[in-house]
Amino acid sequence: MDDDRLDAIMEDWVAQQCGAVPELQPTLEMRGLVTARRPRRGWWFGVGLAAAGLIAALWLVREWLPAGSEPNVATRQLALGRGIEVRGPRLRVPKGSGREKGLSLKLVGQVYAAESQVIIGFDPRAPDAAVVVLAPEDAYRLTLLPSGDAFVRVYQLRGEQDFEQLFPSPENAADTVPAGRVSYLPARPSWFFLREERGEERVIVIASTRPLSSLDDPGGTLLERVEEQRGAGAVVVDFVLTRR
Amino acid sequence: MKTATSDEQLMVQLAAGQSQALDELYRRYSAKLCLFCSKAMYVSNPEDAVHDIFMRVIEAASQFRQSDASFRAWVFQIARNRCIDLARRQKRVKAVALDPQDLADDGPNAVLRMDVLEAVNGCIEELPDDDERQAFVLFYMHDKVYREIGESLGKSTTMAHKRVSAARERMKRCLERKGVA
Repeated sequence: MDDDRLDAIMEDWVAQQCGAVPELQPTLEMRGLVTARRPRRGWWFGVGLAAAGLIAALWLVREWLPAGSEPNVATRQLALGRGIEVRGPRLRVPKGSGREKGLSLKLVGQVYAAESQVIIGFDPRAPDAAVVVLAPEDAYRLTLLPSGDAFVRVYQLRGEQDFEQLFPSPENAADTVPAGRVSYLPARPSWFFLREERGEERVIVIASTRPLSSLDDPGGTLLERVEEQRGAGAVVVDFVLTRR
Repeated sequence: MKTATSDEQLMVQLAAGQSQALDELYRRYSAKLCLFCSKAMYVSNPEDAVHDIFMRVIEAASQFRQSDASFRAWVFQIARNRCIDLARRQKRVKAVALDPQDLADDGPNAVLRMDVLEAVNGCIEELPDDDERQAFVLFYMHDKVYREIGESLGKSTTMAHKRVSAARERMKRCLERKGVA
């Protein structure tokens, strides 16, 4: 066989194999990351205004906020070593999954156990009691796989009136999670960290094919608005994490 | 005649926030990256690998400098590094075979007969050296530009040339053994 013959066979092989690959497209998350790079009109003017506003807000916070107040949740990046062990359930995209009627949401939580340096998966709908108790240096994140493009909200509560919205957030401004692939909240390599005080934190995940803006309405409590969404067909999953 | 936008120009547009540039780069490279990840790097989930690769492309878009490397060499370098990470976490599996039914021999329109296709896949798997296999597949992805092959593999152009030459000889002998003329 001469080189030309080999080249002809291989070029046909590349063409044929590439033709058999399913058409891949960028996800919503990717497009959001790209469009977030766009400079806005009057950008510098806006930056100046924002800086002035931030200084004013910080001054007000210092003057009026009670001492010792801190957010429920911090989000930080973790530089975990390659090949870190992952135990427990993990989400996989099933091949050949067709369109389902209604929205379904596969959800797996992951805890990073800092002492043993492993990642442990858990099912939020049936959490392993041993896994969802976090030590001070532990962190957690969520992995989601909706059956269709979904509007998603994630909250963490320490009381009915004491809650924090984890998603969307300033770091993850888009409020949708695309179908057909595993999405991480927060986006990798970030993780959520519970605050230092011991106690239970309730995490609520709401997913719907329709916008969830009614959750921002001022009337009623958050839990009441979440139940309204559940009644309207949204998928609601809630579970408890304990900070020891 | 309108000239197609180059890959490097698309990267400039992507770094400036134009998502159409991302769509075009995906159209141009996702299939080849998928093929490279499955056939040369033995990744069991090549579609996921392609997603990870493009996420890295987006993250590093503002750092990409055309003077350092072509986009094609750069993105395959990212692909190789990512696939090495993924392959370490999975049991080594044979190259993911596309469903033969997807490549059904439909007579005169078939590019390669099924037996030739299987022979090529088998011979690629039989290449004993990872570098040779990767260099060989990249040879046909990079339009036979040895410099780009070397950049993607993190090796010199001379070494890339050696790997490709050795792989081509083995492939020719293997295909002849399997009855491909």
